[in-house]
Amino acid sequence: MNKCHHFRLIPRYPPPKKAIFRQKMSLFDRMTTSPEAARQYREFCISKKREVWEALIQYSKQAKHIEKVYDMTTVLQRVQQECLVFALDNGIGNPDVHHAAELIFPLSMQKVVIQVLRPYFLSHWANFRLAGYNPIRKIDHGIDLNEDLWTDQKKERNQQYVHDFTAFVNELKTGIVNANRHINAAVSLYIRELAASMVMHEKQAFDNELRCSMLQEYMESLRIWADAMTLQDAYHLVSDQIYKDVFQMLSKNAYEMVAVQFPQKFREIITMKYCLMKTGNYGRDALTKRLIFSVETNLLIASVDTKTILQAYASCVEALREMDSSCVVMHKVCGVIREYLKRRPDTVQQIITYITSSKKNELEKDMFQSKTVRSAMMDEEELRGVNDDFLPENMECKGWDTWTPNPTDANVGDGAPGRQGVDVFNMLVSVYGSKELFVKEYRNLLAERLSGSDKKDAFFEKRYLDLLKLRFQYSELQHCEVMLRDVMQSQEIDCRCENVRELTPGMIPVSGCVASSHYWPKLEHETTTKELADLYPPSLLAAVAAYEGMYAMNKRDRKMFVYKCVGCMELEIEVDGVKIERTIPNAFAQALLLFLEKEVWTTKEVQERLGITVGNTKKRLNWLVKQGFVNMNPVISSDTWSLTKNAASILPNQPGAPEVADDEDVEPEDNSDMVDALEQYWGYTKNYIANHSPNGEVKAERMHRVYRMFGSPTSAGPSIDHVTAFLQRKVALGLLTCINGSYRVVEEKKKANENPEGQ
Amino acid sequence: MEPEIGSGTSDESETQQNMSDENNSPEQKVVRERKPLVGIPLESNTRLKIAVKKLHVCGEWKWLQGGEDTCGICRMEFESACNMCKFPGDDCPLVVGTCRHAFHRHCIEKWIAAPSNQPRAQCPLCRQDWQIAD
Repeated sequence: MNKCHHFRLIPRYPPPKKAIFRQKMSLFDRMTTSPEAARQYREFCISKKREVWEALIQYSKQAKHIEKVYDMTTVLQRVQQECLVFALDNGIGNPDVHHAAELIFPLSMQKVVIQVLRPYFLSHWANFRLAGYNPIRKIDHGIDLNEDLWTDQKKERNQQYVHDFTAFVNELKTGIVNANRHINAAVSLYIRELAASMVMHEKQAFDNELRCSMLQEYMESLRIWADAMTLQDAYHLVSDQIYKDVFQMLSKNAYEMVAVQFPQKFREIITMKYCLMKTGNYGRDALTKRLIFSVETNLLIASVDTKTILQAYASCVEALREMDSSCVVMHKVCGVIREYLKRRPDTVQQIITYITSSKKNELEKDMFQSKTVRSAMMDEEELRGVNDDFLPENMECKGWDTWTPNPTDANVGDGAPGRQGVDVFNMLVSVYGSKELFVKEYRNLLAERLSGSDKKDAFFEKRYLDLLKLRFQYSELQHCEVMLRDVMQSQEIDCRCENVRELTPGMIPVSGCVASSHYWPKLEHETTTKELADLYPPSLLAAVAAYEGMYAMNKRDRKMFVYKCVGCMELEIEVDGVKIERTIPNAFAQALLLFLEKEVWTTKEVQERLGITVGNTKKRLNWLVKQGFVNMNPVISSDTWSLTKNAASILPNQPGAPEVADDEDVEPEDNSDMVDALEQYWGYTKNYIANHSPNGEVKAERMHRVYRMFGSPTSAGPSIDHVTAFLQRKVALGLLTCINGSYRVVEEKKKANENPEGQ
Repeated sequence: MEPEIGSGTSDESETQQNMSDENNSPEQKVVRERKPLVGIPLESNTRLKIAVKKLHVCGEWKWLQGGEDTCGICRMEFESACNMCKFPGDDCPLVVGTCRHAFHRHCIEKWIAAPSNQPRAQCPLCRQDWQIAD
């Protein structure tokens, strides 16, 4: 009794089971459908199909007018009515809703249904956006809106449309002739399409960069739209796919974004990060593969210099660390670059030069400014605790509920792939394999900079060293610290010498670097049997003596021993009225000073005079020739060196190469004819190198000898420089590789794969 | 490097100046003010003329005493720091005993301070009484 009363009060409640059963029974009872009647009903429905579809197609062309949508809704309702009436009239009983729907909108025609409904929903979207348009906060970039047209009246109409459209959607969803089973699929597709077009539009309008905030904005408005139509499912079905789409689209440019023009597209990298987050790292593996492929084909080839690779490496570290917080992508991609870098002979030096010069500004910023941006180098303090979650003792007490296993695409056996030490610096140091090697190399470079150059910046080096101390054990860097202290103390002596010099006319300014020899790498690489007095004219000797005296006076119990062939001098050099200023290493200057005495020297004379080996003699004299101070005429005698007759040759005609150039840097500009002439031998050369026993490696000198055999004995023939230039040209084209001065042929197959013998 | 006159250096430069040259003419002040260094010409018999603007030398230091040996206590070279010091040289000086044996000062002080070597310490190498030579 009580129960019945309850039902009457709230009739919307579902009736109890018993009631349903009874109702069903009664329905069943009333179903007197004969096969004949069912066939008739079927035919009737099919006859209505044409009417519905024709109306749908006709009105779809003007779907932007709400009246037409009303009309369409009316058509649907009318057909439903007719079906019902027909069913009643013919004793079909209560016809199956899905039956009629299937007849009018068959599942096999889903594609067509989606196509036909598209204009309705798109115009709804347009009205929906306009109704919600806010002139202060625009989210459509690159679309010029005529704001005069945007009036309240219009807005009302848009709102009206959005509101009234609901009836149409309702009809499609619930009527007898419903298209309900199509509707989610259809709207999902529209959402995907809309998202794609908005994203592309935004990207174009905004300098080809997709910002994460915009993507979020779009997704949010699409979600609200689906909500407004009570079709939330349609949105949730497809949102995942949209993020995947976006990620895939952005992946296509990932290499440029990450490695080439890194900081420019930073926001897009964040967008990718967001997509990864939304899709549970979908496509990360594909991205890794794609990046590795791009890196291998574009970056890790012989013609790209080490510095560029290092730069790309550093940007990869920074970018990928940001994109993927688990660092799986970074570890994999950078691992490939690292393996390659290890095989390059000049990597070690380049890295330190890179860290200390290219990243100098960044480092200084890190040193002096806030600690917020520390992309180049984090210190151990900041890193501490990053991976604490992975420690077993911590796992037991805290954070166990947030622990996650390694990502499935992480390298097996990497341990915890956390963010430990994944700053640029650490990644670069890891190229060496060990910190010890790095420190050793850093020490050599520091020694070179502090002893050999005329501009030593002990204060910068000190700051840099302080920074390194954040990362290294103290003992590892102690030597470097002593070195810097030596330099600073030497600078004090410099100052005192300078004070004295100012009071002494005609005295040459002198600056020194007095090393604690046990802490420095070997500085003196060339030795001479002669005393300093035989190498320098009196005024230079006086300067050295003054410095030594000043040192002895300030450091009571110590004496300074000058390295004869280390250091440099700043000179003004004049030949026949042509004047230049140069800074020349002392070893070479000693040879040059000889030409103050007489203009022509033989190798033997120079050798005896300077007390050095034949090799070093030739090296110094050749350097003078290269700089244009001295001539050697091979026609007369390859052993006679004379002061240049052509004074203009001492002017620096090769800017940017004032220091002693490495063999690889020699690029003769003016004799490209000769290099071109060697092209005719390329086929021969290639086979020669490839088949050269024992290991298919040939040095430039060897090729030089071979080429000389081709020419007539009297003609000049290519010089070793020409040959080197020719071979380097091939290296630049990726046809040869050059490792430690030996050239090898790059085979087509090997180019794609790794080069197993390259190490 | 910018020449900088510290307060402590002026006295020494005076003495130096007395030894070498008394001339302190105003022209030199002018030279000093000029930032770019003026090259000092070298003697020449040829068409090549060279003026030296600045010489950068490099060398190493050694103790006047002690020779090439190592400290008998810490076994480090005299020119490197003892075990307790970071920096060699001024911070970690050398002392020579009357027996002509040299040690890092910190090393021998520790030796002297050891209770077993009280009250009179002996040279760890030759067992003569330890006394610093003048």
